Amino acid sequence: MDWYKDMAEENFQPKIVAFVCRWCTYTGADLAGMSRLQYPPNTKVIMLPCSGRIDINFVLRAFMQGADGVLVSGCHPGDCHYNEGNYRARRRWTLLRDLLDTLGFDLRRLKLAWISAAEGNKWAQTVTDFTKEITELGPYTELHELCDCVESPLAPEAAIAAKMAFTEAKPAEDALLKTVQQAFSEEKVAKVLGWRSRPTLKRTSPDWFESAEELKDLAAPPAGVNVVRLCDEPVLANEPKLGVIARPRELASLNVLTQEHALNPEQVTVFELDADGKYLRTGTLRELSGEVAQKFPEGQVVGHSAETMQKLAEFMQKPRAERFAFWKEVSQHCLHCYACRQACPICHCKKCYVDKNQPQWFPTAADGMGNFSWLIVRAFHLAGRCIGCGACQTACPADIPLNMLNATLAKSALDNFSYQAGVNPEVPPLQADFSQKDQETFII
Amino acid sequence: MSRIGVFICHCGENIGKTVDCARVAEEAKSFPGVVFARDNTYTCSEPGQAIIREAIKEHGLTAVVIGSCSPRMHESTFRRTCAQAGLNPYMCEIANLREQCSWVHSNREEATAKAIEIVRSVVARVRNNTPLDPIRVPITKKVMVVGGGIAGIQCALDLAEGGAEVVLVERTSSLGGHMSQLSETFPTLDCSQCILTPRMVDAASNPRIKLEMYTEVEKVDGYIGNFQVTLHRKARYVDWNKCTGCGACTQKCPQKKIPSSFDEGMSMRTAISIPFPQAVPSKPTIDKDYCMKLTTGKCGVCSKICKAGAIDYEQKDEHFTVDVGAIVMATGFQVMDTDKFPYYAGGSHPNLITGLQFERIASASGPTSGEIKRPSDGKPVKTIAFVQCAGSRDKANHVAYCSKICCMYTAKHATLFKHKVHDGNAWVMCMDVRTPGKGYDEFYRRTIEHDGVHYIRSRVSRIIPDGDDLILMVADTLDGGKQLQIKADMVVLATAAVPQPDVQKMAQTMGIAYDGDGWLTEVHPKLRPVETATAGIFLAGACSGPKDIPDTVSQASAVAAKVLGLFAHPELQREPTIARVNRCAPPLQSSCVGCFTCESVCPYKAIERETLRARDGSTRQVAKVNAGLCQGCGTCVATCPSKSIELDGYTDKQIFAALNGLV
Amino acid sequence: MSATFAYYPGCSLQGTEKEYNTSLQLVAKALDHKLEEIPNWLCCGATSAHSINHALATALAGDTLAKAQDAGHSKILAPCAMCYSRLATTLHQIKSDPDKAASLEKALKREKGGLAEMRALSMLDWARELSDAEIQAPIKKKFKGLKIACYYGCLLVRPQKVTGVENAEIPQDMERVVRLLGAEPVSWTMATACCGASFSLSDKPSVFRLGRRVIESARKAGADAIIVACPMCHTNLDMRQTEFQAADERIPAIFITQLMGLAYGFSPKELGLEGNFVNTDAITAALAATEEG
Repeated sequence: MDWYKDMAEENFQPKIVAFVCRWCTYTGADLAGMSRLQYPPNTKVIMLPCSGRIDINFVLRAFMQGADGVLVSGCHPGDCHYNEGNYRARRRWTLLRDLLDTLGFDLRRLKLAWISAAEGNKWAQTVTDFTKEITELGPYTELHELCDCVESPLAPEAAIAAKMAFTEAKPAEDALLKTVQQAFSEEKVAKVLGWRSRPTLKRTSPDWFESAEELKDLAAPPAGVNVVRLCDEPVLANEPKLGVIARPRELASLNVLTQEHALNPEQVTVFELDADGKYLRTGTLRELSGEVAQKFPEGQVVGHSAETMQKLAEFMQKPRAERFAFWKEVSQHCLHCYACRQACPICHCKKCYVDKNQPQWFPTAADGMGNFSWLIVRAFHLAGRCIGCGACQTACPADIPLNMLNATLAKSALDNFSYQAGVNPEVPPLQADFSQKDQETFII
Repeated sequence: MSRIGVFICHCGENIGKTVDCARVAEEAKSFPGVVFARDNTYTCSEPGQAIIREAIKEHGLTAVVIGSCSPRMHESTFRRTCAQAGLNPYMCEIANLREQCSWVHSNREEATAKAIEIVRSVVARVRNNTPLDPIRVPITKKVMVVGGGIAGIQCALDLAEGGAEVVLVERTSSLGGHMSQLSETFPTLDCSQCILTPRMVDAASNPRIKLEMYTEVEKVDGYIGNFQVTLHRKARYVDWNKCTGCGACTQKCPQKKIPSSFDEGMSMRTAISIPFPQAVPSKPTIDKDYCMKLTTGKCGVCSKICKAGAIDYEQKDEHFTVDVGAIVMATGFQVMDTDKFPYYAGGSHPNLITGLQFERIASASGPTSGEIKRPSDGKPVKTIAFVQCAGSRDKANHVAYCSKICCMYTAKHATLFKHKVHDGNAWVMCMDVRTPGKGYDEFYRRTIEHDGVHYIRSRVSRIIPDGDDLILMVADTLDGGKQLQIKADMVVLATAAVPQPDVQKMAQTMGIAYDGDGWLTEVHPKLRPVETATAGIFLAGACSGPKDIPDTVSQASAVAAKVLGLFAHPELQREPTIARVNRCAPPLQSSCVGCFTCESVCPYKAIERETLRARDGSTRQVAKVNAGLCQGCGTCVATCPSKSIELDGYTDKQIFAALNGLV
Repeated sequence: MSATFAYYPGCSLQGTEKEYNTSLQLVAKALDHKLEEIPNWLCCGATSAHSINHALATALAGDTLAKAQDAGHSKILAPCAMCYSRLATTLHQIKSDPDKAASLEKALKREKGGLAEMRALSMLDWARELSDAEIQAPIKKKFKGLKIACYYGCLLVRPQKVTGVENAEIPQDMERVVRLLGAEPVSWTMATACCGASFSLSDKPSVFRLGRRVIESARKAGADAIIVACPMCHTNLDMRQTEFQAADERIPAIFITQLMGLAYGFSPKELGLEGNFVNTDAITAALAATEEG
């Protein structure tokens, strides 16, 4: 794979892919042709029915595969042939751009535009300008070189050692134990999700407790992790009499799962603990789901700690190239073990789409491109869903600072759409919703 | 294995001049799956199409790529050609070599290179195409018209004339709507009742029109050609089949002090009543909130007096479903009430009335039998003031839009007043006077020049009550804001026309859009003014914005034409490029986890829920696309977290391949 | 919920309308709101400064904003409608006109951009920040059968682009508070009409004409009392009322904070009702008539 080296030579002709909607921009491009407007031939068009259909995978894949620039264009707000597709697309691009910015991606290479069927001129002008800009920027060697990283050096030993340190399990608080026992005896719950101490492993791990007798192993919740892990569970939406021992972070996770119909909040009994694991009260998820935001420290975006936010703010002060270099370096350690996915309380798909191979959008190998794309795809997948518990980062054996990417999207959702994941199970998910007033300063 | 044929068209010189078509065809032969490639001067001509048909047969082609003009031009032509040769039309794709290549580039070398890339991409795409069959949807040839005003009546009559079965739903107990309340109509001053009543009778007696009176739409399910509408028929407590409409019950009812909504609260009616004398059908209903028998159990006078034995205090509300193929929304509008204007005499002075109330006062069948008397003391009005744009064009307090009908009806009101009160004074406070329409401006000029109505271009800041009179504080905007005070016996506010308050809820259940003000929105304000974004649901009249009677009637007839056009087909054929949630069998499974994010995303409410049963007997709900509703935008596909939805014709595999072909 | 505001009393609240200040302080305390007076605040310039020198008028308000910001605040509560209007207008100019903002910053010798983050709160904004429950929490006695005309006047609600009040001619913020206190707001004509404001001294006949219009309108609408949130309105509708209304045709005009204070259990004396020229017994009587709680 050394195609990018050829391109670095003189007479550089950039490769640009344009994803456009059928009804406005494609027709606008046809109009440019009918008007015989001239523009550079570097841009090749892929037509979709609507900008709403344009998946972030298309764009990322185009870059990973050698494009130097990507143009995405649809109908102007209010003109969508399908009424709302472009509004939803706009939300998607806002989030993606913020994520890519943190990753040190060169955002000048991703252009978004609204070009109507009448704007043949605008199409020709946009393509001409964009080609010129990309030609001046040169080939996107920086990103394409990721394909050369075929080795995955292990993370620094100190980091790994810290991960492997064992902590003794603490037994669960009496008040909690009694309440759960009583719930079993009154047959209010048939199985309860909580922490099980595993003395031989010197660990605690999330597990289902299916009888009062089993509760002798019930442990206090450890920090930095989340008891909710549904990706290997059967679908629980119809299951009656579930119980969950939940701190605010778990409660927020359960709210997201309710929002996504993975749980029936009427049928889930929550044994609520405070952030430090002290027992507070018991009720159905429906009863306890409100006011979750207030359960986190003031000024915090649900579970995303002030410390992470601060770290992110400082990180964003660095020049773009430095940010990219940072992520390139840390992503090299990724083993593609998917521990982050396994630990995530929000992942509840039974078959993750990265495991689907028809088509295989990104390589699953632990190489440069595979790792970097996993960083993007994992984080974006949780945009507006991640509640910031940090379980993924805790689980990561390579110590990749995933929290920072999660926080980027949480901040973007809050700043741009006043949305916080996990605080209100009644509203539509972030990306399923839109407002006509959503900002679009980055779209020409 | 794919056997792809590639046909590169010169389009005379249009493509051939800039693109070396022969070389493109030659290169195409080396692309995976291509077994045949050639160039041709005019591919869309009959001989050109014949070449394609022959090649399909001769080489056993399974897919075809045409490098030619834009797919918007000839995609359907070439797909038809392929179908003639027995190939599934969706196995044919177009590479746009003209509008997006030869016409926009001049360097032959560069243009040819680009053309080769485009063709390579489309060939890669078409290898992943699958045959698709058009979706056939049966049509129930019955239409529901919601609203029995002039829009609904006209539309129902035109539809029935064209042979369609119509269900006309009206929530009050009579047809007629706002038009039946009007005195005369502009600009001809025809009596509204005189021109409307015959239409009402026609609608009621037409064998193809079934009236569902005193009935509201509760729920709409289904899709174009196949709607199931749940209706709620409110209890009338009168058996209309037995009732002869003699009206004896309404004379004898002891509850007589109920404000009549037909007379806009300016006269009283009984608890059992017919809304107005010319009502169609002329049958009474009992108002359960006022009837003494129903509230206290004591009375029963109407039951005793009714010779037909039609009174039935035990009647219950009914809910029932009707299957229809199309729905017409003709739900109309309301006018803002005076209480929205506290700065005008607190919004509640008896002699401060709306334009609609003035219609009733001026109407020969109204509470004053057409004499212009004011409500507070019945004194004949000598000085009357009209305030235009009350609420309209007032972004700061009410609505930003122009209500369109007020300028003309105010001119009409002032004219009617002057015709009835020759020595009276009529003042009109207006912002601008907008009278576009046939005979409209002439009418307005006559109002001023012939009838002597005083128009002042001004704004009214406040109206101050002075006993039964009212004093208007007026700023003359033509005279540097000079302040005037006008004392009037009665003031008529041309209050803004506003949407029906509950129509938005209904729009939500139907999946049709409404704007920020609450008016139902058309697909395209100019080119598709009577269609909604949901196929099969149409808009007639003022439900989509204020309209006068001529515009309303035109729209109603336009909708009838649209619906009859729809019904002219034996069944609906729709593009099969729609979304599909994956399934594998047996037993039926899906990678969908049922998060239903797609449900929130879909603008067409096309996502349904299906219960899947696993081998162990456990069940779960997953998404399913209703093929009748899906319009194929694909937003759900891009949003689905588990990538369990595909959009046929634009599948991930196709896009992936096309992208691979490009870079 | 406890909250802290920079407090900008302005001149009236220290002089002619002291009871506005005292009643506001009591109510704020009951609501657990901390009002921290801006150190060394200057005169707002009221309506007179800006009709003579725009730059000066902006700088006067700008200085107050700057001082509040330096004291660590982002919200300034300005109970006087004129003070509020000056602050809000200046903020509007800072946000909408970069040139003006720059020249103001130059005059104040401040770094670019900081002042635009400040917010000026009128009494209406302040009421809007309170939830129904918060307003009702300190209530000791509710009013019963008391009909109130809520009088807004001019600067609290206008110009709309400055105040941001949604329905500038039909504001309902005070009506909401009145309802929560158990009294009944009336619908009336003159809620946003002019009271004569600063003509109180220079052109009494105009004030009499305008004030009479307001009082008569409230009376006709059946109001027992008028509430105001502006010292000038209060002067014109209370003190001047004794000059233009016959003794048996007067109705009391009090501050919204005084009405709230009564319901919150403070005595008429504490709230300064005794300073009113028109007798306020009709208001206190409606309160006494109800049971505890």
